[in-house]
Amino acid sequence: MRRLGLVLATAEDLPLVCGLARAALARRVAVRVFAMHHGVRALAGAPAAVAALVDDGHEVIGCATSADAAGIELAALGVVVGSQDDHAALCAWADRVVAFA
Amino acid sequence: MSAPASPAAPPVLTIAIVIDHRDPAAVAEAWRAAVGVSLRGARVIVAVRPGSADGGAAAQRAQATLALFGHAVDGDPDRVAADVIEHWCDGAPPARGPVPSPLGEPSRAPVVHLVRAGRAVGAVAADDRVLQLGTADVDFAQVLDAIAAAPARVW
Repeated sequence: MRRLGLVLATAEDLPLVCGLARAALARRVAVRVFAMHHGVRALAGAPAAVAALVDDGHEVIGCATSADAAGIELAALGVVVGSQDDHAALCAWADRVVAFA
Repeated sequence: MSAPASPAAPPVLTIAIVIDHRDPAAVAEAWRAAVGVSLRGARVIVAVRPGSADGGAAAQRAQATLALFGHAVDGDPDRVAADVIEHWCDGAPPARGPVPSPLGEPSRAPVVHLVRAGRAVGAVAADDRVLQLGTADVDFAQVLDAIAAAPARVW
């Protein structure tokens, strides 16, 4: 496995996403995270965790529709402002996808 | 003169969205995700657990759109097989126990079930693997190995 996609749609599972991302980094597995629904709230509530993901070289993308609905400024967190097309792209890019939804 | 051979098309990805949720907003989001993951040519299967909330008009539109484009919107949540499984669940105790394949029917490919804290796993086939994510000292390297070996379904 060279590419791992992680989908986050819940408020409480960001620590699991971060744990998998750290393990993947140790194995030189590339990681892309797509957050939507409550997942964008989780990112906003844990800016240090988001910064660590980004600093580790992982791509973190948030659904703009979800962020707008929640009044969250994704770009200020270092998160790429994306759409459901990025969700589809993550699934196509990754060798495996794990969805916390 | 014959046309040059075109490169082999990549296999079509199958993505399952399993909806097992009592929150109408989450159900609507799951349907939105189902439309979303269809945008790059994947085959999408949506399976809704009876008793899930009604996702409202947006969910109905998403269902109609997916059906219009030939995607399956009536999958079996206990027997879904896909390259990617997005399981939108709220942690309600699963109504089903282990689901072995009937004699004579080929088993679906194995799945690794990742079980979050306070959750219970539902349909598990004989070749599946179950890993707990509920403890403070999760061995993420082990989880990664399991994920590498089989599609993951998070409970």
